[in-house]
Amino acid sequence: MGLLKAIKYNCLKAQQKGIQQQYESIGFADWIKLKYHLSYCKVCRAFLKDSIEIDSVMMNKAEELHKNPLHKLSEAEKEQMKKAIDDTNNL
Amino acid sequence: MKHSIEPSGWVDQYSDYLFSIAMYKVNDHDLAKDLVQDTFLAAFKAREKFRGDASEKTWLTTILKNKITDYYRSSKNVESINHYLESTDSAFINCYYDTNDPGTYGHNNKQAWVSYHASDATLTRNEINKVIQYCLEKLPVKLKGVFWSKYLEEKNTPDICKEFNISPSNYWVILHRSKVLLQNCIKKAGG
Repeated sequence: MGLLKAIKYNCLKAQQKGIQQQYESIGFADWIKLKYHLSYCKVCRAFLKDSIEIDSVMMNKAEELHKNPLHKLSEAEKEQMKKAIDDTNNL
Repeated sequence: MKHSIEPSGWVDQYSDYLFSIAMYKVNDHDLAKDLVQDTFLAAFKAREKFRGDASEKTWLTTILKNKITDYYRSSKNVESINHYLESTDSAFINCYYDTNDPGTYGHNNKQAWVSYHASDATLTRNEINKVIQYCLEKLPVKLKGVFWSKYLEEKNTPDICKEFNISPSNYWVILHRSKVLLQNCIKKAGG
């Protein structure tokens, strides 16, 4: 029981390390603790599965941004910027 | 292939794209606009140095990112992210975790998510997309910029930490919190 207690993560830590592990290596000790936690914690397993799904949607959103920016400047603001560049050119 | 440079077309071609990136990262219309304008002016002054190895868009985006790094390097803005994380830490934990047993920090009811893969109210990808957009808008300002950066340019952790001048451990805290808040919001909106 001592060993199991020693390798026990709480849910907060398991989720933080679980997310980190989705992007980079977390080291053997943390990996063992995470695996042990996920072996009995259904909610954290679901959280980490959904985390991957969110990543996939976010990557698509980031790609869309190149084609169709969500935030736009007004025509007046754009004209002001053009003028600022022209003014720099004329200095 | 060498790329050419055409400053007269910058505003029409790239201002909305650069402005969107800046908005995601600083979440302030006037500040984002100023950062884009500063980017154009800095690029214009440095146009002789453009070697044509990357596209104009990539070059301008790099300059904008440097401007954003400078913004977050200012002690006032860095403090505000770190201070936000510290001052909201216990509220966040109390809201989403059962702190009766500090050793385990189990989940309380608010965090009893049902994965939308297996949920009865399964959302389609299109619906998830709309819901995530809504929930993204509701993310706290201090988390939003760092969270978006993860996806905007597929940047690695050290680059994002450098841009926002945050420690790697705070970076993971921000990413985790953002996902907890997003999933909770998605669950509410979809459930």
